[in-house]
Amino acid sequence: MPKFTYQVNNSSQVTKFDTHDLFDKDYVEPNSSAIDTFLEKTEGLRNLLNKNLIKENSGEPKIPKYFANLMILAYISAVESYFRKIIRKVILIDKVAQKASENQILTYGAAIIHSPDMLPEALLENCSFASKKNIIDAIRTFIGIKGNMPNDVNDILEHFSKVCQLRHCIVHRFGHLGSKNMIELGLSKHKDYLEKPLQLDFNKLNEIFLVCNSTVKVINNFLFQTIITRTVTERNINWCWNFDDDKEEFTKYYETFASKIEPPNNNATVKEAYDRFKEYFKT
Amino acid sequence: MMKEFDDAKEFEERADFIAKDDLMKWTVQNDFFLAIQKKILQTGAKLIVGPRGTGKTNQMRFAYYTCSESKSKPLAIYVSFGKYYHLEPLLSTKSNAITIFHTWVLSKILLGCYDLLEDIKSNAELYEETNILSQKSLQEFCANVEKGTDIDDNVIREVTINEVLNTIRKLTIKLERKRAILLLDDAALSLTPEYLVEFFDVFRSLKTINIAPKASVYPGTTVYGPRFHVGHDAEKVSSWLEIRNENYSQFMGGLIKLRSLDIDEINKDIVEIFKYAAFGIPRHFINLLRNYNQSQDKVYQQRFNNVIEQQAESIKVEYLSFTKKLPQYQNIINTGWLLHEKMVEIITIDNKNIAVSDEKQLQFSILKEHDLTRDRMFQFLIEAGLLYELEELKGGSNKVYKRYIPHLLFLVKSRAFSTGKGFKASEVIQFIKRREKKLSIRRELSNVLDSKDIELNLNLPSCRNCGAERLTEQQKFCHNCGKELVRQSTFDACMETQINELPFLTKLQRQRINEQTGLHTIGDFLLVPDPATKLRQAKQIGPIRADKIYKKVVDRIEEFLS
Repeated sequence: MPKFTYQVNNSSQVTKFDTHDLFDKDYVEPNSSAIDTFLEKTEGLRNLLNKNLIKENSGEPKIPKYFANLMILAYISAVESYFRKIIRKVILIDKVAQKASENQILTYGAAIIHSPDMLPEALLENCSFASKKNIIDAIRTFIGIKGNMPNDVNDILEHFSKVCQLRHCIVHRFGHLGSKNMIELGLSKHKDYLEKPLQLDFNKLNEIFLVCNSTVKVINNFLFQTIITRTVTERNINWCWNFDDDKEEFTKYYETFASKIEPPNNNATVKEAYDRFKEYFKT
Repeated sequence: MMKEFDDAKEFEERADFIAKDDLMKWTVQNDFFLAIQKKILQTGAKLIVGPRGTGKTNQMRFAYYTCSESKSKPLAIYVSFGKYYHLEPLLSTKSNAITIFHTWVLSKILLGCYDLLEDIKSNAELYEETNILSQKSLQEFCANVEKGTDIDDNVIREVTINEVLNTIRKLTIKLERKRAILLLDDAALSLTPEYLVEFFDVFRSLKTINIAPKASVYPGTTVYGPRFHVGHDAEKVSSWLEIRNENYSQFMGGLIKLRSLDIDEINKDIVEIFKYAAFGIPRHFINLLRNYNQSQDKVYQQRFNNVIEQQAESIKVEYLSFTKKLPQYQNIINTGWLLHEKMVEIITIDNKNIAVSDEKQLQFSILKEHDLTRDRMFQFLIEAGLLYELEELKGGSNKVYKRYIPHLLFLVKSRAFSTGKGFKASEVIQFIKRREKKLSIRRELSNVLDSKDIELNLNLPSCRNCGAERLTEQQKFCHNCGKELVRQSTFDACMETQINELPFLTKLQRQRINEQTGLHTIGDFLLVPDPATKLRQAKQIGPIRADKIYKKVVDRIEEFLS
């Protein structure tokens, strides 16, 4: 007997799908700091949103349906990329981070193809940065930071974890709140929203962007302060306390972290940072 | 001989500057006062509601002293959050500002426990000196938070709600009390809604079987965050005595008696007018009496008018200072001022029309409309004590009116209670004491103010990068260029208030201080190590006057920041 072939939807046409030509072969990783790469990418995302805002005469503009959800995916991806880039760069310059990472497993494929500069990125292949725990684990494992995280780091990662739950809803359920996400976000406050879709307006999306930006800013400052401090306290660098002699080493650290796009103040330079560093530690 | 009124402690307007014995002696203990005391001392969470100067601090400190002296009363812990506005800059610079504020609130409560032990001279120990929660460590933490520097993470980790509750419970047992009340003064936090929500979350968590929190707040605020429901989470208790209360005059008069204020030279009718012009605010009453006594004017009518004018100006300056603290509401605040002026004008006309009758008009009803910015405008006027809110009025065709009494001082000033051309204090007071007209004035907002005057849009700062005007108050990134919108600290802006804007200085003093001392802004007073000495560099300002001015500036700063 022939197979039952009655169709409940129309037929689909042929597809010729290959992936190797989907990527930009000529791309060269920019030299900018991890935070500046993040800031550039996210500003691009926000301007994409701005172009698509439905502005009314006054008040809050509207966002096209589904657009806000896509923005969250892209934004979190930018945060994850920041973590990959900063960890890779720290491993390249910092002895303690190198030591912490030396017993981590690397795939053979990555080992033979990656340039030395990009090799640490392959270490992070199996890492996800989509929760507070994952981020703290990665910081401990690959950068070798021990002890309690400071309150501002803990606090902002709590918020970021919530954004990651939203991402989970978007990726797996087209934005609807799943039961696991509901529990993670707090049962009592969310119990009435189970299986309901995300409803993001301009202000709420702005708040989510701010959480992501703050996550990167808080952690970037924390990593710089902790790593540069331990070069002194754990004596893994013999600082001469003379800018000319220390310049090369200090600049490596400074430029890994410093933002030119959003500097802390108008006078921020490597020299100013070094002077403050020396003033604090030499005495 | 007349006293030097500036120095007379009897004329001190602020309860926080009155010594314990004087406070206990001077407090008018009538039914109104005692009813509030009862609410403070009993179980259950309470909100003590009243504008500045209505005696909230007096109530709380009175309750505190009463409890500290009697073991049959609950354990009372008094804490002032008056310095909360010092934490406002953190909102622009620390992503964990809310957590820091949370710890600051709890640390202040623990410090309140230490203060109590000192006040009752108890040897009981809360924490060992080396503990992170020792008095010294918490004092240092709070001072650093208020300065915004060197904030200790360890304190943030250790000071939790449970820790505070346990400490209070243990202390209650040690001091042989059955239960505890937390007197949380200056908790209006109306300038930082972010902190207000957090504060009332903490307030809710502190409310347990044997611990009852009581917070003093300003009127007008109706929302205390998504998780706090007035009525359910705390009962509202008004500390603002309504001028229509039958014991009103007696209560105000009690202040004179108990404080033995030297007012022999003031005509009794004028004192009586001042009671009403104070609009239920004891601090204003004392101020009016003091200014009248100090005045050099020989003609009593002129003297009276000047004192009323001066007080009106000071209330106006204080109200308009909101525009500095909350610049985004500048239009709304200014429109509110115009509205209040118009209400006074309309009531004055109505009173002129009924001058020949035996009635007076005080009430103004405005049609209720659902509009957040409009509501915000009324909230400012109520918070500043310019409008006394009465119960809503139901009109025909399902119309609901919000009912208010505008500030009586402004009605006195606009001669709403004067019948002839001249001024006769006895006639004015007779008019004020007339029975009230049954029908209040009823209007729609659009009929009170010209449409061109109704400016209720927010004044939001433009993007620093591209200059685009913000679209919403909550916006964090520019909708035009995509850059992050910088959150400007209004605390920092407040510190830039010019000496020229301080109402308690004479023109000449302002000029001399500006030109001869190098002090130009309020912030300068905080930066200079010894501002009182600095002030003496100005001509005609000696040590006594310098101290007085400095005290006033500090007072002003605290008031400004409260």
